[in-house]
Amino acid sequence: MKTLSFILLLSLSFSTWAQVFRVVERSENNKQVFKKVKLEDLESSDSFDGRYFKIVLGKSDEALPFDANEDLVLKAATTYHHLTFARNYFVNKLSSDYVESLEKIVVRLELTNQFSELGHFAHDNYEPQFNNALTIPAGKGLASRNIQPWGKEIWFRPSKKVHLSSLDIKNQEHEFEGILRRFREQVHMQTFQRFLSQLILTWTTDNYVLDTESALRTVGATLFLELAYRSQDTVNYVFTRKWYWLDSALVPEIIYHEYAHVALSDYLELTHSTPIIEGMADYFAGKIASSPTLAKKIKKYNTFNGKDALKKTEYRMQFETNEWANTDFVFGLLWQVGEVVGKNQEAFMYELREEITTDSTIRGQLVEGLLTTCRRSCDEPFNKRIQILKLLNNKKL
Amino acid sequence: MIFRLFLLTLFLFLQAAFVWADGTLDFTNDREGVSLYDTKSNNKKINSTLKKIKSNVIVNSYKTALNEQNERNVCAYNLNETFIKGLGQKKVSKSQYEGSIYYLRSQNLIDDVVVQILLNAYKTTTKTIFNNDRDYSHRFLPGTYIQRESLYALMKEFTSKYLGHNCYDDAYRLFHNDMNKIVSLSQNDLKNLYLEANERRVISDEVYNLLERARLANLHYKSVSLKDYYRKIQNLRVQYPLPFENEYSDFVTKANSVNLTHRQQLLAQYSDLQIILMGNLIKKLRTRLESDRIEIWVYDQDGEIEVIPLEPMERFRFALKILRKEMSQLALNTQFRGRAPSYMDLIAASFELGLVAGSELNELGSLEEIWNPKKTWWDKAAFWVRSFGSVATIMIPPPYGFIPVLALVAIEATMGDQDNGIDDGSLF
Repeated sequence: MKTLSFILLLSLSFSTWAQVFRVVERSENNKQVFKKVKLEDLESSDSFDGRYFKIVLGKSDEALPFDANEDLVLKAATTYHHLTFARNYFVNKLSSDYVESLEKIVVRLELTNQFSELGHFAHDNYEPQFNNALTIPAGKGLASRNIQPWGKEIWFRPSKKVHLSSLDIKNQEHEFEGILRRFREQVHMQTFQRFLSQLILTWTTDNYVLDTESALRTVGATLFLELAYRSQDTVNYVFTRKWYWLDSALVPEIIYHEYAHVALSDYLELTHSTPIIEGMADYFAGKIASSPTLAKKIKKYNTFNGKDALKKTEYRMQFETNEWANTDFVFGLLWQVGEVVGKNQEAFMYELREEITTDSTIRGQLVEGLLTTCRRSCDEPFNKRIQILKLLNNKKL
Repeated sequence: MIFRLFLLTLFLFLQAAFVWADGTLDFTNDREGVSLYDTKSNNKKINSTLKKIKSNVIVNSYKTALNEQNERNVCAYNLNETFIKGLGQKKVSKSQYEGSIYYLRSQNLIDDVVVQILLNAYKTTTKTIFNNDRDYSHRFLPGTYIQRESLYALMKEFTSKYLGHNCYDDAYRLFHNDMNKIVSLSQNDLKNLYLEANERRVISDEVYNLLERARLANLHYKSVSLKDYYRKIQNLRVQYPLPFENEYSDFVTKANSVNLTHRQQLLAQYSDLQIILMGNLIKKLRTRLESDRIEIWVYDQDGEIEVIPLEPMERFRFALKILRKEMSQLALNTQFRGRAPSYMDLIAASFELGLVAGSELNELGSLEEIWNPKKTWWDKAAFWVRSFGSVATIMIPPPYGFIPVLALVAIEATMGDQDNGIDDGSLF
């Protein structure tokens, strides 16, 4: 009887719970839908505490209970579900020993504190953070301040409606403005040239080339163009989006992206955000989601542009800077190189992390890493390397 | 440099002498993939030929004809003659002959270069001659009376002096050369001279036909003969033994604008020495493309240096730039006499020497796109829209003047500045 009780106890201790929850999912055509799914590997019967992930609220160390408010449960279930999916991808598809060996990861929802390398959570007085997510490296804690050591964690910030004017996102508008300005200058120059030639002809010949009707037409067209140019800000204001919010815990690709940071962290340290580390995480988020676009078609939770790997962006020097870490240039670059590599591209990209660091440059170590990895792993190294070089050359790298 | 070339030439000559003394005739295809002649109509010819002539008869006939050839003086015309006889037909039609040759190609017993040589030889010898210009009153004959008598004397000796020891094409080339030493002769001069000589019975109808057919086929031009081809291949294979036997490539059998394959063009137009020089450029390109480290060293007055390592894309563009420089320099080489080989010729040469694997040719060939990009329809159209657009900006009155400006801005926005493609941060 004692033995039987022991076996029962042992089996209970190893058992995992399967609970059904409503989560945010993607449909076949990549649209946002709600689905009921069974969460795998839960170790608790009443909270989001699983074998590999523990979902907590804010700075708490306790797992979020299933009977918390509906919005929080939706976020917890969605993050738990997609994190499990992402983990399975790295373990099963890429046979990652590193990911398999990882300790349970704490996932914090609705946390507004900034990250502190020493104190885990920066003081509440620091500016609160919204509309993003981040993965933090493990820390040793600070015994003198009673700060316990912590492992790798993923933090999802709360969503907050922010007016776009308060954000520095004017790059695309500047591009449009530049084109419009060039157009305006050329038209004005052309009008001026024509006016001069008509004036000279009128003076030097008996013909009145510069008649009143012609002059009025010229002035009218010029004024009309100038009015259109001057009013572009008003037009932009009327027709463009004004508010921005991002509920990162409810966007599957953002969850994949953050987990990819964890999975790549054996080589790409989580110390800071750089174009390389973000691009690599974007690539795997896209692959896990089986989509070259990230965080698109989900306007309920994200009103920003998302990322697109198929965008034909050419290289610019500023892409090397951390200010541009979240553009989709590296994502697109890796995605297109993946197409060249072919069927083993995901294993190839996972191997690539061994050749680069968080601080690698795109033009230097990333390209070198791609070529070195290809020499080692491509099925036709010489041909594939040439194809990669041609692709990179076309991207003006 | 000249001394090195001399040594290389001498070495090649000695190698050639050694090979010819010891060689066995074989034209088995060991390089070419899908044949240029592998077409529906040619396959039909093969099928209809095989209904009349058994495949083993064709093969045996070819092997017998080949065995009868002397490797020092292998001749497509003689080979054709023996081959046709061996087919065992009373009369072998043109279609049957071609079908048999295509069949040999399909079995890889010969390659496209040999097919071309044999077909040309057959075409030359079966060319129908129309002697409809027999009105000698309008005929202009070149040179003086004495010069013409010397020319007739040479014609009289064509079969005994020239054809006796040489293949038909070589014989005609020698003969043509000797004729031109007496007086410079145009094609029309030759036509008139041959007619005149035949009418005067200086040469028989048979010799007349030989000379006139050779003239019509332009045999005096330097083109590859079976002997040339055999020598070139033997030399190249001794100098550069192939790393893999029978490595076929479809790249070298792609047809160019004059319906010749890259390989046919290479072997027809370049000597073995030229092919070696060309192939080695691609060998160097390949090494540079594969290199993980290229550096620029800067020495100052004291000999100290600054080392500037190139980034991966700089290495790539450097490799292409230096190749283009070397291609220009190759054209200045005395061996090439100002003739600039194309990039495709270089690629074909490198494969012929076995310096590049067949599977790499397409990718290597595609590199030309970088410095010689194909123009799309839009690129061509944009040029004219730009040209007319800049005139139209002045000509078209307001309020429609914005239309050409809009077109110009659209072109600039979509096409960008092609000359300034790479960001300034790159050295190359």
